[in-house]
Amino acid sequence: MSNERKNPGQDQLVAETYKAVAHERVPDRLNERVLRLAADAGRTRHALARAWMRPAAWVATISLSFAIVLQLTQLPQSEPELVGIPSSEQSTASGHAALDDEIATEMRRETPLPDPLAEGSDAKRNGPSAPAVERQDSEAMHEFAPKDMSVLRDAENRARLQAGPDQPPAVPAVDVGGNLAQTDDAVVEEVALEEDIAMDSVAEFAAARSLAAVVENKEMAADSSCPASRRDNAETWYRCIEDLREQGMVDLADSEYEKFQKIFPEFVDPGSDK
Amino acid sequence: MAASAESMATAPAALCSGRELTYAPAMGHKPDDSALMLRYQDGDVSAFETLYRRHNDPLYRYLLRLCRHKDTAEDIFQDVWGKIVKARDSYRPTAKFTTFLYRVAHNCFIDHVRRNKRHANSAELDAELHSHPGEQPETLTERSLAKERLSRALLELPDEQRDAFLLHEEAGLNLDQIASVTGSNRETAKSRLRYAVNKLRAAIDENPERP
Repeated sequence: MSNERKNPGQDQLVAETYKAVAHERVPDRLNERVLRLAADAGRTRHALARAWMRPAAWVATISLSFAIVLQLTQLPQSEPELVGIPSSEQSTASGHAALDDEIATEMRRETPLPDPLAEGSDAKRNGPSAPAVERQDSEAMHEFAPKDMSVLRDAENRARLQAGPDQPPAVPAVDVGGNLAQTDDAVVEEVALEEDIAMDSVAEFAAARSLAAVVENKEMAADSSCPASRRDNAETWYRCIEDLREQGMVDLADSEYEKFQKIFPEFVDPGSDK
Repeated sequence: MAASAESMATAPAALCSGRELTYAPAMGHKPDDSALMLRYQDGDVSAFETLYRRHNDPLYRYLLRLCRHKDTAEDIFQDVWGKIVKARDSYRPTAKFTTFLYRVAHNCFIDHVRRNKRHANSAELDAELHSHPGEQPETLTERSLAKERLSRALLELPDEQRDAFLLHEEAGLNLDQIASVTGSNRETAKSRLRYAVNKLRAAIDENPERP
């Protein structure tokens, strides 16, 4: 029990004897195996990190650049492609659809769509010109009107039969028993009615714009109530301010008077002497 | 061992020649085990090699005598280092690396014993552990006989006592560290170590010719 304390040298003896006995070393193949395992694990981890980071960064950079370039180049070019006349190859490939597009482009070129703002401004300048517009539209509609009115008549008859004998026809503006010219006029009238509605809205818009312009002019006039010709001379400017005050625009006259005093601080009202 | 002896032998020569003692700080600056492990954590494989070379032989002897079977010891040895390699990311230098290493080894050994019953009837001890090839019994000196008796007594010790003794001698652990590795308290570890030392000392002192 107390041998350890009694004979401490014996512990030393045990330790020394053990150290003399324990001389085994790890076999080289085992050392190699463990070190290879550790190296592979260490290399794999960092190689993976390296293998991921750089290509990922490159791919991200390239794709981002490509996307930006694509975005910048595609946006302006998309519009001309739509308007441009298709090439012979494209027209043969797309067949009738391309031909229709071409015809539509041609017609658009011959009869440009009316600009509501431009028409409105014209209306404002030249007075009411609705009949003229109507005339243009009716001419345009004549171009688009079906040449063979029998087709239209057949369609009308079919609609009437489906609706029943007591019901009014599906197309009320067209007289079934009328002649070809009457039917044509009815279609034109219908289109003209729609155009009238459209022109009403255009006229309303133009009126609103003119009202806005008047308000704007008033604001501008209020901003500089006295014209430049009257501002040249101190007396005329002062008279202008007096006039404004007499007209009841006291605030405007005061603000104008402040401006006046800044430029002519020593001006004495001739009326005050009196 | 050989390297340090060599450096000690060359040191006086360097002093006499007046050369700059560039090796002196290197000798004093021995990287800590935990620092090496952290360096390996950062991908420095050479740090792991240094660490491994520092601990491989004592760990191998510990496992060899604990298992009493060479192949089993080698398997567990490789398993232990594999676990150390795998655990490098989660390693935190909160305890001494040696304690960490031998705790892993101890647990691997326990797992092996539970998993494999070969250890239970491994009374077939490796003859090479306590044999002296080339020497006849009659030519063995008293010292050699003492070694022989100690080796035999060590292998006959109960596993817990042998474990405590080997942790003390091979790993250089103190009682607290032995208790930590074996999952017991300090007094138990102390008791096991004392019993082991007493039995080994008795074996060394054993002299059949002595009256």
